[in-house]
Amino acid sequence: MGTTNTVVVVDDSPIVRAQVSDVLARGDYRVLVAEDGKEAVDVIEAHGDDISLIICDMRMPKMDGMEVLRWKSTSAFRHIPFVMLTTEGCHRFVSEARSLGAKGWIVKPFNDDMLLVAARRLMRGPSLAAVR
Amino acid sequence: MQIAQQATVDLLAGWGVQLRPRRLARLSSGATAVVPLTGDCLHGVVGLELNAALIDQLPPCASCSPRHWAKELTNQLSGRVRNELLAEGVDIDMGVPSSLQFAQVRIDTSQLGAAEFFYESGDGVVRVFFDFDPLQDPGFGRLREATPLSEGQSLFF
Repeated sequence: MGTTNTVVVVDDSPIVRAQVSDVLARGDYRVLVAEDGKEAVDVIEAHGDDISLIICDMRMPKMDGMEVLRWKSTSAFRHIPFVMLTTEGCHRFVSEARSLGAKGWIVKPFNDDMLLVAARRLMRGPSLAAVR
Repeated sequence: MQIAQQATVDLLAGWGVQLRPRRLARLSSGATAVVPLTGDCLHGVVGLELNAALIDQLPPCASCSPRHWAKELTNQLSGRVRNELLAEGVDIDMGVPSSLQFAQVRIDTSQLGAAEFFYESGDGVVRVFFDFDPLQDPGFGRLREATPLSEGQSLFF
């Protein structure tokens, strides 16, 4: 595993994927993208040991963000921090995500600086020491 | 409807486009998307049409088509409307956005539950429309829950 932290960005919108990826790339993160929950599961299973953070939309075709989180919570990847990035602001869903182990909830549109601060704060692995 | 109008202006301002209200317009090119909204009090869609001049004012995105923009903006608009309604105690569920290769979606605004409004920015025009069956009194304020998170807000656990 290298020194660059890897973030998985999951969103069915290429606009959001591009936005988030650009911000994270400026923060020197390696970014892997997935267009829906099913693809996210494939990416996580393929790169699990290298992944430091998952940023995931909630409403997506095929498999939504809550389903990805539910799958992760019972998988070998349950330790990877997970943040929901969504238009949804209802506390009912926030609570559900939290109970499934999510570490954060961001309501779109996001602020670039806030996203980078969140990534640093939630990142596990090499960059954690830098945050402290 | 005021909620949706303000949400539209705020949404586009967040993308760097300042909107002004305008009268009815026929959009000749661009993209359209809809998001289904369902709840105890209504069942229908919110939709958004953008013309090409409006899309040109949005940030550059190499891999993004007009359809992608229509879907994302409709998704964010419906999310804003949903969160505003939640704050008023009205809970509706949103679906996944679908785009229509540019289509003129005609709404009969004389019907209860149908409405449309238009905005412009230079040559750019955006049309927002609602078309739903009102099923029962939405009961504003009756089911008020904790204020939902608002746009740009974050929580860390």
